[in-house]
Amino acid sequence: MTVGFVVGVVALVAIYATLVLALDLQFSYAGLINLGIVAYVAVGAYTYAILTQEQPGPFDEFKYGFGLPIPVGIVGAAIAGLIFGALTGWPSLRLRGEYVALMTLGFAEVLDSFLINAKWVSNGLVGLPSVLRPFENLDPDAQNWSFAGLSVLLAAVTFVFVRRVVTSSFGKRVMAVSDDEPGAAAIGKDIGGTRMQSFLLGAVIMSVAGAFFVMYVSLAVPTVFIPEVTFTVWIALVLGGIRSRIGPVIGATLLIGMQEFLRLLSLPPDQSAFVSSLRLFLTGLLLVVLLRIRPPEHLLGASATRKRRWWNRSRKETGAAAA
Amino acid sequence: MAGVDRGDVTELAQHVVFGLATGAFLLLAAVGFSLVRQVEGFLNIAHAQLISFGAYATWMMNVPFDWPIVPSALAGIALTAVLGLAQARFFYDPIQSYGPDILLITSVGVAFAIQGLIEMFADPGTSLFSLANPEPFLIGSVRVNPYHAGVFVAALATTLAMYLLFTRTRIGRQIRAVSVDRQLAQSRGVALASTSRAVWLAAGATAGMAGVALGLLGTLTTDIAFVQILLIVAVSIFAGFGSLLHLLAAAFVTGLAMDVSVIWIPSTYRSVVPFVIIIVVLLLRRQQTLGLATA
Repeated sequence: MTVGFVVGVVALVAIYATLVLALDLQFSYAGLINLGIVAYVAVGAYTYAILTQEQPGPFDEFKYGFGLPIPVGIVGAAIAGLIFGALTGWPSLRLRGEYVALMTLGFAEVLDSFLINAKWVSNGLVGLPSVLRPFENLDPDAQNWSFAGLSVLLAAVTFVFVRRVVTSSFGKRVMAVSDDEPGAAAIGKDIGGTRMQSFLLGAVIMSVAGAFFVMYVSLAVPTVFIPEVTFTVWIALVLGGIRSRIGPVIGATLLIGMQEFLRLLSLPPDQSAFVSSLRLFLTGLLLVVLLRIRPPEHLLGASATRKRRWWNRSRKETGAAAA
Repeated sequence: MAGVDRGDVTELAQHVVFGLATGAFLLLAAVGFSLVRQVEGFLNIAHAQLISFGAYATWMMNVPFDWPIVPSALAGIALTAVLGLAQARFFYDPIQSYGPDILLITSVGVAFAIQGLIEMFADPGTSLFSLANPEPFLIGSVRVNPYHAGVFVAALATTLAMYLLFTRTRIGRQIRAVSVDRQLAQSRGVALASTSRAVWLAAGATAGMAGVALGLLGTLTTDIAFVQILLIVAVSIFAGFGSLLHLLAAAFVTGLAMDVSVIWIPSTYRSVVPFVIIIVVLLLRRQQTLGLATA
């Protein structure tokens, strides 16, 4: 095991921790089930790649490349995430609960289909090969260290940002709308706006993480942006704990760390296909088991939630006294 | 009409025939998903993996074990029905009280587990049933593949059988009662264990049939389930999780839209068509969709 390998794992863990924090905001606090995380990641990744890559040559199928500096690419990814979030959020958030899940899942599929087919943007299944990575003038080791440091910085900034958001009055409103929508509406909270704002915040974070993700894999290609990315983020969130401060970071560290170290087992190719199916199988079972032993409490059925809330408890006691 | 020659009409009719076969597959694929949603109260994302499992179980009997297609298909359907019941018993029933959102996310985990299981045993490339070469018959000047016609007839027969089950039998009426009001049905003496068993067996069996249909209509690849779930969801939302008749109409409209649209748009976008239909449907009749009614 080399130091270089560990540095790579640190970068990937930090990027996933950022994604889990974004999902924490959308799901744990705002109650929105986003099953299309990978689409927001891909939008950020492709936007970053297109903005920063060189002008394509005469033999390239893709048409755009602007050669802009890295910070512009990252800001572009954030803006693209905002636009894509608004386009997909508008129809999705008109619906509730499980239907939001289905719509986001569907949009991810549509985007995947677009990226495979729209060769003039994405170069199809060949992908965009020369993604600009930061610190290219450094030697490879120093570059990897610096990139890992930058990714950890991204995760740290996101962590502080999400804490700030959820402890602000906006965060209280988000939780009020998610936990008791009729109640929040009754005291004049803007339900649709609150849901949309929290969804967009998550989408922008995911797209920025997407820019880092594509720097990490250094190739923008549809086969990288598969549903497994979405579900890995979900499992890390459930593993770390819902509505817990540091949970998303712990979940991402445990899950991605474990997955990456499993890769170290050097196996012959025929067995490695078997191991990847086994990993899929075990990942699925892990999610099922985790949800059973530590379900997100605020999503439990109405009866379970009611017991937890002080205002309902007091109402129940009053009722009991009257009877 | 000026500008339309016989060739265009034949091409259109040909695509309509493909669309009817696709619609028949969609009907088989969505009927179990919709049934589970209405009676068990949650969206089972793993339903698509049941279809994929049915296809590969049939392939396993048909190709490596060299059984003829009919017994292979029956075995595949039976195995899928058992898997449908087993996933409910092991994964969903114990957390029934956790509510639909947790059940939905759990079903994503189940989908992954079944997907992993399929990939362990299936060929990573494309797989085909071993079938006699179809001899197309002609209706007018339109060629019809007998396997496509078979899928169409099987889908309609299954729908009719389900209709008779729900209207003429005791268990069918009990299932409908549970879907309307679970607690009332229970207090009136309906055994939820037996209705749940019937629902999961029916959902598994129809998913198995959809899997066989998938193998008869084209080639199988292991990633097929992730595409199917979207189609299933599209048809179910389009039908508004309503009656069998709604589902029948939604499946055939979607199937026709998918296959006739390839005349004008690139066929690689074919699987996006149903999603466009959902968006239009949701925006046009948002008051009637269940998502809002339960808000």
